Amino acid sequence: MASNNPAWPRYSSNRHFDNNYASVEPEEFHYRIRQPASGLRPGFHRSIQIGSGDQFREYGSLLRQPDPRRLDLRASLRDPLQQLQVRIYNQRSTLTVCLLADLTASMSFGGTGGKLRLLTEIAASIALSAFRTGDAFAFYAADTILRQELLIPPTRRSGLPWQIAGQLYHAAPAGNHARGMLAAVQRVPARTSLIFLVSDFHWPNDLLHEVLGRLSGHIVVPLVSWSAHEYVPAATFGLVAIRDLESGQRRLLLARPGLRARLTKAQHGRRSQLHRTFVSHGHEPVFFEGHYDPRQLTEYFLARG
Amino acid sequence: MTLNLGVSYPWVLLLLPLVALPWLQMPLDSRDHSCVAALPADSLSRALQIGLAVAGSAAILATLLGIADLHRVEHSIPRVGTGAHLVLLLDRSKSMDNTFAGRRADGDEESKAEAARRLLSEFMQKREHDLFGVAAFSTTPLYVLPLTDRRQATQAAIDTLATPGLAYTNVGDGLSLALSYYRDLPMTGSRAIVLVSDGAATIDFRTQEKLRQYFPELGVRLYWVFLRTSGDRGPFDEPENEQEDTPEAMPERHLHKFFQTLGVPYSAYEAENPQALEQAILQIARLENEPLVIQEKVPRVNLAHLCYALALGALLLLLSAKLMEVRAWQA
Repeated sequence: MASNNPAWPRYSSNRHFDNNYASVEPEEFHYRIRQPASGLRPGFHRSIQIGSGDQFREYGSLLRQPDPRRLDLRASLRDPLQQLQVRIYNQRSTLTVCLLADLTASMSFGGTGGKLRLLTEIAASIALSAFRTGDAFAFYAADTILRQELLIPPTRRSGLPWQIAGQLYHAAPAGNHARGMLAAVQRVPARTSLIFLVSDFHWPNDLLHEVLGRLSGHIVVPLVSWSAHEYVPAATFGLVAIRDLESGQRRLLLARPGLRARLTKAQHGRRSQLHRTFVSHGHEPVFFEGHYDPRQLTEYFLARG
Repeated sequence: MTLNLGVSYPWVLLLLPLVALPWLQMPLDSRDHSCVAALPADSLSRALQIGLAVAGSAAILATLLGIADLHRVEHSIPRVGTGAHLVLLLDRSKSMDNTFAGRRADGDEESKAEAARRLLSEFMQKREHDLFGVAAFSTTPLYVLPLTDRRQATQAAIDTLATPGLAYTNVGDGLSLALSYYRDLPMTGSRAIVLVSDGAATIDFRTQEKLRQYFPELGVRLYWVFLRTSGDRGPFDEPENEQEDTPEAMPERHLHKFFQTLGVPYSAYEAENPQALEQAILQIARLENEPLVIQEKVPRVNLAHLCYALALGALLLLLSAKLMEVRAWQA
């Protein structure tokens, strides 16, 4: 179903009316950032932009900020140079929210109810939240290359969550490595943005470090999206043959309680390893296993204040 | 032992590359997975994976070999036995019909021929790995049976001793005939002629020369079982005076002397009754227990049914694996 020709979109517009697409209902979460936002436009987030905010910044001469409503008499009298002093405030600014999605073949794991569905829910939720907060939203997807046809530059358009849900739901994840993420990183706006990085992160360590290194100027929230059975099969006993979506490697596993324990251990091991890697770059990751809950993200941002 | 395998339909073996198939594709449907390499190694699963591939290959290979009709070809294997090539040279002179006492055989006492027949039969039955040939002589030599391992034929040849004897004793030609059995025969074991007679005769000079040449040449040992009739002279008798010591007067003694000059191992046994004859034959049996290399023929063995059994076993393994298959990674 996927065409490799980038001129052709990998979704068709009539799919907007599909049942699958309609089943994704974006849910909002609340986010805030600790550091000042860099946007010029007035918005939700604290910033260092001078404007009509409520956060006092400094005193300045009336000539510098010619707004007589903000004249401060006490400050003017205190000034040894006898100049009229005006209170200068920081405005609240907008932020650009970017979503970098990994669309390599491993993200198709689990079929219609799997990781792609999870990614779709997350993307729609972020787009909706950004719209409701008044921030611009940008979307970048990559597999071995940047997926141009899915790219959405920063925009405040309404209806975006549904558009993204529709186009993602039918984007066929493909490609056996995620080095296209490096190209996607280059397209991210230069000014500090809030970047959600969605992937299962079955990446080589050097790629992960490189991507995180290039995003060091941004506020990065890694969203580790795993299926409910990323490591541990559903069956408790039996033979199951598996084939890697990316490398094509085949393996036979005899599912049994002993192996189950080891697989669970491997999953926890990978989790803590990813956690350490992200934290070493200064980012706290969020793990989703099987299902997406926007409250998890709200709590995440509240906790980080 | 070498395994000489053959097939009846070699063109079936053109399909042998199919054996590689199980290594390219597992017999179970594979489920997609996002991080196979990240899963911990599991030696039991790995062993099962290799085992299933081996079973698949074995099933295909065995079926192909079965269709190609695998068999072990007929071949002969050298075998070391404790056997010898023995030629029984039997005296068929009329005197053999008499008992050891020199009378005509009646119901109570068995004749010399009868005793010889009985004991030689037993001797032959005991020696499983020997080849027996039978020759007889009277006035002229009688070709009876060539060297063979067919017991029944040998038995029948020995049984002819029971038929009435013929005429006189002509040892020389009998020995020549017995020696001729070994001509053109590969030297694969010890050779011996067992001469059973109850009398002796002079051997003319020309025959003596011939025997002196062929005995060492063919490497044949000689055992002489002399069935002595009581009152008669034997090979070990000493002459009473000088005048008596001639081949004509004492043929046994001079024949014995001649045999000793043949240049091959030779023993003579004098038997005056059936028990003594038995002792003599036992002694020969002991002497002839030297190792003997013989070529034994092994008939063709059909292995196709074995192949099918192996294929069935492998397929049952695969079937049980298939029945254990879980068709989904996620519920």
